[in-house]
Amino acid sequence: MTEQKEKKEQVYYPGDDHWEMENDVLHLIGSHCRKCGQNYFPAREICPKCFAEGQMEKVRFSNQGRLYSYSVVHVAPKQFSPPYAVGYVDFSEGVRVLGQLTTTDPEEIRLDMDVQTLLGKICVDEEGHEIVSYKFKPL
Amino acid sequence: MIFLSIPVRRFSMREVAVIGVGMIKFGKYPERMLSSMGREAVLLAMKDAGIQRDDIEACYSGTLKGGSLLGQRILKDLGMTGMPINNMENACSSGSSALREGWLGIASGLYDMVVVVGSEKLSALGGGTLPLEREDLEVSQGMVMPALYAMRARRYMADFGATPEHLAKVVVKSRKNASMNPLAQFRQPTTVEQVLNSRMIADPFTLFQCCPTGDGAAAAILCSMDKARQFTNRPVRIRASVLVSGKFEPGFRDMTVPEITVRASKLAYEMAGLGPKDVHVAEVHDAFSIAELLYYEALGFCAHGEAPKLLDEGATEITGPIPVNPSGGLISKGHPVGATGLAQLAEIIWQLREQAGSRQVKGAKVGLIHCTGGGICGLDHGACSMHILER
Repeated sequence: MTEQKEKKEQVYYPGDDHWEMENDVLHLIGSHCRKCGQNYFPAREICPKCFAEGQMEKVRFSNQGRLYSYSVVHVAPKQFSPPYAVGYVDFSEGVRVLGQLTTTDPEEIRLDMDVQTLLGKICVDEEGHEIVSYKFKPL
Repeated sequence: MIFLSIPVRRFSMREVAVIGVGMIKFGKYPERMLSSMGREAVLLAMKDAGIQRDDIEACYSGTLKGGSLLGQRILKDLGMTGMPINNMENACSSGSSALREGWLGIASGLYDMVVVVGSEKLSALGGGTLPLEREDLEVSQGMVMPALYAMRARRYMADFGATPEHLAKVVVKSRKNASMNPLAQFRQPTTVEQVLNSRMIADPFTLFQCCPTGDGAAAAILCSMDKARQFTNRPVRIRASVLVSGKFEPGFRDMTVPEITVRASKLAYEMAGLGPKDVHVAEVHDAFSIAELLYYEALGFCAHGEAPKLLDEGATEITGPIPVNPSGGLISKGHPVGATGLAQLAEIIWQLREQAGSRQVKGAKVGLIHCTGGGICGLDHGACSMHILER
């Protein structure tokens, strides 16, 4: 019962198997195709590039990436709390990931800046669960 | 790219004509049933074509959020069910995908005449941004359509020196054209200052730079070219009909290059045997201000990075060498999602028949319509459908 209650307060999305924590720093976990070398986030079983099956191995992404572009969102579905910023972050593993930034302050955000991956709240769902996922902090 | 060339090259496809179009004024009709809007558009198109209901052999109906069996719901009260009715969903390209399938139905020789309809009632969804598929990873992180286009805009501005004023000027042109279109949702002319001072939606986009929430329907009657002359002395020929889906890309993508549109336009020009310089008027998918600029480039109207210059020169005004969105486009005419592709078709048919009133593009003989959309993780867009028409 207690465990259920705790679960209701905070939910990891898309699931804590999608990252590994090291102190406060988060590393995304994706897939590496042994056949063609392509990396993916999130992890998958079939390689969309070369169609290989059973060739995927776990890959741990670096904890920093580069911000390709972003927008501060002022109108959003009701589970989100605008304003919040979303951005595409490019990782050296050759993968681009969309996530929320930890700030909406235009003074703190620049294109092509380095950002760090960490864990944070992204929204609250209809049942009141606080949804926690990877986020990007400007460096 | 061979997959779309195959039907053209290897099989002899029949020529297809558009012989009638119709659309209702786009706006908000919360009291009205969606099926009644679609029905009105179908009747307008049938009257425009001067045909009887029994001439129609199949229906293709597009909608995003209009629910199950919309084609049947539209046609049953006209006593027109019994024939094959194909209900299509392809996000913002639902209506244009229905057009493409209708074209295929006739080009293949299966039918001589079909009705194609697109309908949408976004007012029923309660306003705000378009609800997206929550199974999608990016949507679950807070992605909304304005933010997707806003990120393209920010990158484009950084890479090519475009300014917020350029984005606003797209809207000023759009409203000016829509002021001459009695079927448009927003017909009040505006200024760069008013556009930039409207409230922020997803920066750098202000409200006026986003297509509105609205309702509407549009329809067309397609007919084989050999039979078209029985019904009209001014059939408009479909020179190209193309449908593609976005390519999955897990890595880095240049967001200033809309890959799905680049690919679709290459195929469309190839199929028509025409190039961008042969196009006299175009309706493009300007869901947000930046989109129109990106599509000038993707459709070959100017080189990469030169869209702001093309806009500044007035080249895409109704009086310019390559008029774009004389109807007011999605931003001002409105974007009841599933209806859009067929509303674009209606506008181009009116332009090619010289029935566009004060927004008429002088001497337009070749027109292009471009419809793309759908926010989906890893793809530029879900779908893109393009058609080239000639009178």
